[in-house]
Amino acid sequence: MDQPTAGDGRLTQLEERRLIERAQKGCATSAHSLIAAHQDRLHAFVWRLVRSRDDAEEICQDAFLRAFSALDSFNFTYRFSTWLFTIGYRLSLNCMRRRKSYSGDVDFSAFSADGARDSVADGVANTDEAVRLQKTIWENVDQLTPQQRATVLLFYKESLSCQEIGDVLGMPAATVKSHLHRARARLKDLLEGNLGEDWTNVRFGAAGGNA
Amino acid sequence: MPLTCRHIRQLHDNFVDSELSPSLTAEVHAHLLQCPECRRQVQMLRTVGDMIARDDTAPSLSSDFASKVVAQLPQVRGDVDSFDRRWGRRLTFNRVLFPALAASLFIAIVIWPRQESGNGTKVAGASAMKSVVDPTMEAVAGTKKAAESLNTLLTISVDQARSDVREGMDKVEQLRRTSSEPLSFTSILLQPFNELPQPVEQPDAKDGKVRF
Repeated sequence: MDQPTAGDGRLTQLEERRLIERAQKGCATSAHSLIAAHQDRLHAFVWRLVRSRDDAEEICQDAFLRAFSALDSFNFTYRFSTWLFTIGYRLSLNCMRRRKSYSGDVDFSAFSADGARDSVADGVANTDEAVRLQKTIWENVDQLTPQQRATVLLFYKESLSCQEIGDVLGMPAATVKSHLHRARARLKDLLEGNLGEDWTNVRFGAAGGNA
Repeated sequence: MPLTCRHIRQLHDNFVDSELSPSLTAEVHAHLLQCPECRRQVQMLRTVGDMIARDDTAPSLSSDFASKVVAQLPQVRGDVDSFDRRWGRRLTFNRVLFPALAASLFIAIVIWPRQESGNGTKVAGASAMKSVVDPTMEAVAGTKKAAESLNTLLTISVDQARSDVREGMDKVEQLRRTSSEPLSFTSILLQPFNELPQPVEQPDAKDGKVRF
């Protein structure tokens, strides 16, 4: 089975193209590799938007099915991930509209209970200050509008350019830039009130860098 | 004029994203060295970005997620070899079933209603088909007759040509017997012209010229 070989676990453009072409011809193995290479990133993005594990998994499944049903018309000038994120974003918006919960009123006690928070301590932020800071940041990210949240996630987590984010969200790059600017300003305002004075002394573990 | 905190605040995003010109970057750097509040805000922006980028707290999908999705894909069947079988089925449909379906629809939509509107009553299926088939058979029979006529015409033409050639050969043989000189191809070719009547001399010809 083909495996992602790029340094960060992501497919190179050539590998991705080869897999898509074989999947277009009906190769299940290539389809499996494509899904395996993108499922975690898509799921993290969708889960951050809808904040529900079941909804996120259902949306991911739907997004992959829709992407593969229209794979014959795939435009190779774009990355497959851009296409997937576009579908995932629209499905997430629909889901949030149905639930009428645009801004996150997230139960962080439940979030900690499922063990996800423990992975933070093991990974990026292995000090109490860092864990507290990360929790505060995500609480404030959840208060952003869906567009601002998606922009922030795609910019920081996926390292997409404003133009690529615009392709995903269906808006011009200038609008993306504006969303990003407002999101940062709002995060700064929110964090100013929520963070103590000791956040600048936060130290990260081996997987992280300096704050 | 040195930049104020208000100016610098507007440049925070571009500074963090490294989108400023070298000279402006240097000016912001100089300001940050002497302004703790601006330095704190820029540091906060960077921290937020780092935290989000390094986050791995999202719950993971089940290990068989990809297999479950692949199982639901209608267009993939096993390995790439299945491509030929899949396209084989498509070709069968395209070459056989689709034309048959189209012909049936054509008869049902175009020919059938015409038959019904012709006599005003509902025509039974067999008689409708007969009325379609009979003219076709007549046309085929007419074509056969035309072909037979053409064959007869060609036979007559060939016989005629054969007799003409035989007659010509007899003439050449006769000429060879009567002529003292050996026959050339040119003389044989010009023989019909030599047999043409000679021009008649005009009664008023005074200059010795022959007029036609």
